[in-house]
Amino acid sequence: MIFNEDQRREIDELLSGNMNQPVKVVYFTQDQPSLELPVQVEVTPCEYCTETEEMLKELAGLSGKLELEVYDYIKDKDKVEQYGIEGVPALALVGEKDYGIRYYGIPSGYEFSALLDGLINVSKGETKLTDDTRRALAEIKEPVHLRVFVTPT
Amino acid sequence: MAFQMAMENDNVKADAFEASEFPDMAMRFSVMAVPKTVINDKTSVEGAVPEAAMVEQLKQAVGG
Repeated sequence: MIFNEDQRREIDELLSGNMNQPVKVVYFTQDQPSLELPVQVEVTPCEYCTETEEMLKELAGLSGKLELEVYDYIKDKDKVEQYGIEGVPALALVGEKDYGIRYYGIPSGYEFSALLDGLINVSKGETKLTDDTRRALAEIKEPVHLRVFVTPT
Repeated sequence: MAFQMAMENDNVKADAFEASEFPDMAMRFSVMAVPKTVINDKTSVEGAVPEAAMVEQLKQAVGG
């Protein structure tokens, strides 16, 4: 159990009170290296993959509007390519469409709140950005790839 | 904020990286402090900046 009883209730209230449309959380993990792997295959162990998956499964269990899909970073190459995944653990938040939102790492601490916010925004299909910001963003016609580096504390 | 920007414009995609779990990526983009936002792998914005300032950086990065 990742979340205690109070946390489960809080999450449930927050999500059920704010989510509108279903959101798909597409999670990429990696089997831990085993001795059966040929030695020439270099696989970096994924320190937080198991814990992240456990957290997401609990989270998905708290809301009927959250659907969790789990893929393997090594084996599910087509999905890795489809979602443009660059490492694990990784998750994509997909609502009415794939907005291009990815989170790499275990979303703990402050980042967990950011994840819940993201789920709610994607579920509603709307953001809290100001009208000015929206107008300015709408003028951008070229591809923009943002990588935001964060820490969980 | 980056996630919301990705939602507003289909041309924008946003990745958040937990820096300590992805040291290679953090090193590649010289991340010394967080938050740090890297735009199109070339320009970057350090710290938490207001929406308007971030949009301005985006527009500059794409030459707008």
